[in-house]
Amino acid sequence: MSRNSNIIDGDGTGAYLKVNEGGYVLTQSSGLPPKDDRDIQIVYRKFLTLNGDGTTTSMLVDGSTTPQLFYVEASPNNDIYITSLSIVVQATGISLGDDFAGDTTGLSNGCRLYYEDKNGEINIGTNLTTNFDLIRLCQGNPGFGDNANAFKIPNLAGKGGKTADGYIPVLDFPEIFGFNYGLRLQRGTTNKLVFEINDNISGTAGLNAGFNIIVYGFERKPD
Amino acid sequence: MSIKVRIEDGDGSGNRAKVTEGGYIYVQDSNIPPLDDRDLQIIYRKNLTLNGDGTTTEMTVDGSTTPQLFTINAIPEKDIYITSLSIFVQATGIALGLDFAGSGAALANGCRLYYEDKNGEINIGTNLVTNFEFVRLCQGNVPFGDAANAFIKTDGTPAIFPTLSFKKVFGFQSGLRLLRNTTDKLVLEVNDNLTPGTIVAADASFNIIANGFELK
Repeated sequence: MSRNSNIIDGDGTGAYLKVNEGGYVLTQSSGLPPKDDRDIQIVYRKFLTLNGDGTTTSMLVDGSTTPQLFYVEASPNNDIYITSLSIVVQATGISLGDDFAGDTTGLSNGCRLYYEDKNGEINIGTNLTTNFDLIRLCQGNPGFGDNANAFKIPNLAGKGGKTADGYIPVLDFPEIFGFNYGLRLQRGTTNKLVFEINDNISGTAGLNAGFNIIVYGFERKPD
Repeated sequence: MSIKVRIEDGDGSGNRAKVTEGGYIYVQDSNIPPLDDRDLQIIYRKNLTLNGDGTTTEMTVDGSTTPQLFTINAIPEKDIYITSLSIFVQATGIALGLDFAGSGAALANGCRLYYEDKNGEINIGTNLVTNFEFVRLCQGNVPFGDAANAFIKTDGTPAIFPTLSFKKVFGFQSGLRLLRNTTDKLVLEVNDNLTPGTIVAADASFNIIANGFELK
């Protein structure tokens, strides 16, 4: 047997908590963060690197025989929440037509973006064969430019000191996938976020090509 | 043994709060903020200044021998939440190619943006050697312009002014906190000689404004 109860204001004002016809408790959120002196959130910003080596950031590699994996992985102590990915692909003559990094054809096999947790490999993007596929994966974020220069920065200086036209799509996990805090790599696991290359991009990319991804988010320490 | 309680509308309508099969209580959030007469939140807007002196906002300085640090620091009484940084780099001839503030080349060492708390120095952006590295750090926010003028304001002296949103980019819902009564700080480190007319253009300018709020 249950007891009917009202929730009343702790300050003794006599105010009661309301429940509407639909059975909803009416709430009002503070615009302020709670006062919490714990130190539990740390900025996280890393490149995806070859086999997670922490060094090799250029993804212009040959994955045609053996897929080449660029990733970030879970840490032993803190959860990592990935809020966004910043992708840069650049090359002389790059376009949103049949082209990946200036190869003027698009890739045969295409790249794959996925994460791996206890559910196995979960695809985020597959058959990424063109620059446009990366732009579409990111839902056109950030949108700028016009006509042939839509989404394009001419004469862009990317990592490695190369200058060429480039695209800079950003994948926003809360916005696109509804993960309020981003994609989690759970502490003490082998969770990882992986970009898989299945073509010989080092052989086909155009002049002054560049291709890398930076991961943004935060580390959350245990309570 | 626990007592089972039904939550009932305080106005006496007889409405009862629902709990789903998954154990969730139904709630509906108001579209308006709570009436709260406490005075807890204050707008915060400050330039990063040289060694936090509160005065020297211009970051076109010589950091080639000794790194020059532009900071904002925690304060004794209130937490500071930094929600965004407005970065401004101006120079004739500024471009998103190999250029920083009209230098016509990438910086040799580059700037570093970091914060410092009891975890030590946490990098936010490193090797910021070109204008574009700042645009990328801010994930292309705010996007505008076209072709060679993408992200570049062309009226007056050309400039870029990317905005770093800590909520959007890093998922810090209320922004990056500088905890009260600590030595927490946010720092832009200059490691090259950015004195106008040396590497960068003679009319170069570079500054950062931190926006957010103080919480009492």
